[in-house]
Amino acid sequence: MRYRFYTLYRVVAGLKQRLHARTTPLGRLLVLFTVLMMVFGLNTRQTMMYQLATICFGVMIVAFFMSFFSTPKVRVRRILPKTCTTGEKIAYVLEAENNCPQAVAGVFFREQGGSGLPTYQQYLVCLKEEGSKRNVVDSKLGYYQWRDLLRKIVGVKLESHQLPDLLPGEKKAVEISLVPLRRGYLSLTGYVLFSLDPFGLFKKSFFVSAPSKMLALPQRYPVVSGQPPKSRKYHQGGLTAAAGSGDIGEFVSLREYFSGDPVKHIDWKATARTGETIIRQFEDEYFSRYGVVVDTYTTQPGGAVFEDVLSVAASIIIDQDITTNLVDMFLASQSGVVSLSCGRGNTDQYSLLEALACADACGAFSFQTMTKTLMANLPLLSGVILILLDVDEQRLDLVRLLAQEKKSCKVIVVTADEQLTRKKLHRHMLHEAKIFPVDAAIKIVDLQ
Amino acid sequence: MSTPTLLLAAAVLFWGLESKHVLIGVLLAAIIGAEHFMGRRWKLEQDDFIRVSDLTSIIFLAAAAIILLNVDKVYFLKTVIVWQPAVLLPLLLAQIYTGQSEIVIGTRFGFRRKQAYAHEPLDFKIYYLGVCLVAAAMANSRSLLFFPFASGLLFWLLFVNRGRRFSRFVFSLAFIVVLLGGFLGFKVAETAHQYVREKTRHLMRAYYAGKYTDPFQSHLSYGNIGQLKFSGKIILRVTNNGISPGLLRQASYATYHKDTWHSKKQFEYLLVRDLGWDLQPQPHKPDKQATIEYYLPKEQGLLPQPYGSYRVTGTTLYELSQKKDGIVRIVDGAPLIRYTIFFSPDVFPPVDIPSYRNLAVQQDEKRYLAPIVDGLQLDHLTVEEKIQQVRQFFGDGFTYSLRSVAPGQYASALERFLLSDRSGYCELFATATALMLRQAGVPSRYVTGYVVSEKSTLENKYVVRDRHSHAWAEAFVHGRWVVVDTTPANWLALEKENGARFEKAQDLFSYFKLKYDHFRIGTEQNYTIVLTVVVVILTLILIFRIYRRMNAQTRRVEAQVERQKVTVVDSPFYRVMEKVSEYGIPRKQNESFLSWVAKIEQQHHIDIVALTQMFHLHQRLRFDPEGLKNDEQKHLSQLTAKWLATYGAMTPADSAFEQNSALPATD
Repeated sequence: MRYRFYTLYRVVAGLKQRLHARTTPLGRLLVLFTVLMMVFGLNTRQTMMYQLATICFGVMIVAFFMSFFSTPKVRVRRILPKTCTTGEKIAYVLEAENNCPQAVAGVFFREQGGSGLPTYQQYLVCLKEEGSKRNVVDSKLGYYQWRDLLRKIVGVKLESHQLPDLLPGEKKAVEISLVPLRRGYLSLTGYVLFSLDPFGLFKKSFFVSAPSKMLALPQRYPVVSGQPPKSRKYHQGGLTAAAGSGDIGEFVSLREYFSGDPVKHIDWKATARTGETIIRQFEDEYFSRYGVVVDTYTTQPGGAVFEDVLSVAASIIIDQDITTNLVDMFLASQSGVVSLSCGRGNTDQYSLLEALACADACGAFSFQTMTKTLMANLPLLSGVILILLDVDEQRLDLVRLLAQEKKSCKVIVVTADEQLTRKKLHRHMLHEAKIFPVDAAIKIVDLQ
Repeated sequence: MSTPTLLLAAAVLFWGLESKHVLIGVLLAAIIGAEHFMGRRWKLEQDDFIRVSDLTSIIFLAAAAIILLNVDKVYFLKTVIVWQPAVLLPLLLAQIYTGQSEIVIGTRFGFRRKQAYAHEPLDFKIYYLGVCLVAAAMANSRSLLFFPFASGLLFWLLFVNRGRRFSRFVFSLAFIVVLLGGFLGFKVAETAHQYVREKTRHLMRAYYAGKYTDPFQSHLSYGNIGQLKFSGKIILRVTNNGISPGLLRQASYATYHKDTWHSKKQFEYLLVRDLGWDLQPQPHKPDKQATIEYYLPKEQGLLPQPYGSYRVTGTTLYELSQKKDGIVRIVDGAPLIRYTIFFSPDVFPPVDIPSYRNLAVQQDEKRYLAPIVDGLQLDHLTVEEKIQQVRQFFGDGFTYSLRSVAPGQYASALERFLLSDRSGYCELFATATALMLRQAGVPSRYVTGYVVSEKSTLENKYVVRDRHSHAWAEAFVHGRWVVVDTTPANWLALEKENGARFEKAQDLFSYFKLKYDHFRIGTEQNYTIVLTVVVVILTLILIFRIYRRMNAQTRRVEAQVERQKVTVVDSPFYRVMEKVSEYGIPRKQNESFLSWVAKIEQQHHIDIVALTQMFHLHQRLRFDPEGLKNDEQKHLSQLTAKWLATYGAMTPADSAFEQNSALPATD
């Protein structure tokens, strides 16, 4: 039965795509209106709907035929940004040029996303994931799950934009926008230029193949910053990495050379004077370095909780002042736990966001892998921010280990069931942990 | 997609004209069109839109209830649709007076507190336009102006949304072609429908004839009455002084041909006398009377009456006519009639005498009837003895059956009944009796009506159900017609056995419905005012709840604004910025003004030096705590006026031409 529903939805989606490609919203409404008037206007003595039906039908016929005479003749060049943020509208510039001897008006531009439809396997996975959220009827029909899956596959909300009127030979720039709906790579197969019939019902389209990709970074939320879980700690950063932050490495005194001291700091004049190897001693540097642990150990990739974990991590990373601090992100992948750093002259935060954009779930592995990796790197860190999917024994072990090491730690638990999570935290005496509910109307990351 | 507010106002006005609610149409059009002239807008949240949706739903249900109570059921759906522009007005007003391009429609009904279902946002204006057109068409005014007005509205809608690839001339020409084609199209549709109607009328005539008692023919459909006999629905109620009236006669027929009885006698109009109608000359002594309640199909039909009826009274009967055989036709009456019938066994219509038709037997029937009648040896018997012999014939070996039978190898069901099965229902018994009596030389006719036999303890009345419908024969004996009913006496018991299981529940429902119908028709009460008041109160409650919340929000916003007052600076440089934006080069997000004009300068000559100077003065005017001095403000005004005088009248193409002209010529 599910396969029949899937087939039905697939056929309807295909027809809908073709209809949307050929008609405008007004055109679709008029088609529906005409059909209804024809059906209900059969009895010409009972109503006058037959008159509406004939005139609407006439409009459609004339519009359909005249749409073949409206070929758009414009040349465009677009420069797509490499990255964007999920849920936020991005704008970029499109240059339109009219190479024809006549003026051009009424031409529309629209990006073309991937037109693939979900496979049956993808549909089944989606049904299984969202089954508990829907009532019995919706679970059986599976329509809402299909609709959400379609949006995920397309990944981007595209709109048609009207290009400005162009005189012969004229070139103009116009701002185009689109809204990414999910993170990860978004494929655009090209773009469509179309113009309308005189009544604005049917489109005459011309597709230009121009494949391109954009990386949609995770959605970000406002962050309420508190004191970050850090203390300033000695790091062998060196003057080149200090760059004016922390204490400046000023000359303090001369002393005898000890094995292991850097050779470049040897004061040769003093050495020649005294006959002993003397080096210049500088003031120690201090800056903060802390870790952000991103929990991706789940068997439900693409779920709201998993996506919000990545979004919370992205929000925190962007919020940090990387001119004075170093941020290490610990992220699990299929090949193990990776650590990426940004700040203090190293890569910027967007590199970490790109990693988050491509992150996938690692349900097959154990959280203990993350614990081991973090503990190995712990001596370098001033503090740790844990962004967790769940509260279970393995995750609690990590929190206890951090407490034993007297390492400053902030815990944020992303959850779909706030009540249950609150009970768990209370039971394990984690009163200071913050809960981030995925179904909150307004989402804020609280780091206080 | 653009739907101008004035177009919606025109559509509502069009609806008012077509549905003959002109004043309401004008009022609604004024309310909608006023938005165009109002500068203020409402502020509504998603919750408020959902409340408006619920309000609209309540109005719709209340309107449907009022219409159901006050309009004939046949016109219920049509009336509901015609009134939709008024019912859906709140949703439209919510959209246009908030200035939003899309609104959320949803409901809280059936959800827990603070939960609601919200549909995806949609532009309701275009749907409202469609509703107005459909409602106007549904009103079916048959006005010649419908087509031009509807075309005008469609032209307006298409014009504002037209494709700009084509000129207005092409658009208009195309629409003229559409108009001509549309006009031709609907004329063809009218003609085609008329043709189809004529053709189907003949086919459906026989089907519809069987549904209601036709005074001019009764067709033996091998199940017409047979099907009715299975139904326990109460169609008649008889109240009298404890005496059962027995048979109620409704129609009689004289000619039999091919399974159908016909009557050719004409009805004559009955005059009212003393708030009633005299059916026959009154007897010397008034005898019996009964009160009958009867649901009249289509508010006309034949009057069920006991034998010997001479007078009828009733306020729910409006017009009657009568045939010479005493059959009364209700030309006009209420859907539920209640009348008092006066009857006496001594009364019979003096003009009701048999004609040659009452003795006619067709050859097809004579073929098998003659041997049967000859076998009874009725030639030398009196009329009463002949009737008795026929009764005995059917009483001996004939049984009652509810099964409908096809003729099979016989020419007709009647022949099969008489020669083979010897079992059938009342129609067959009555037909056979009438024809056999005719064959024996006794004038006879076929009569249909009802049998009153069952008393309802619930209502304390005699109830006549569908299964009590009956057919019998009448024979003319010594100057009067007498009943000759040869159907086996156990037919009523057999019918009762096959009654519905839930008859008692059906009777209870039927009883309450009767009471309500009497109250509604009898009191002629107008519920419109009552329900209108209820709807108005509900509407006011919801409006108050929405407005109260809106008011509170407005006050809070104002309070915040008072704490943080911002003085708006009116700088003449804004006009320059507007003009610069017309050059068609968009300003990127976070791009500074100066870098933007530098980009424009590459394609159009706009005197960037002057712009930079003006921009700096403008920024100081806006952000410098000390502001600009008077002479500096004057200088800014002069610079902007000069720049606008130079570049304000030029189009971007002109400035591009100037720019290109300024460039040195190349080889």
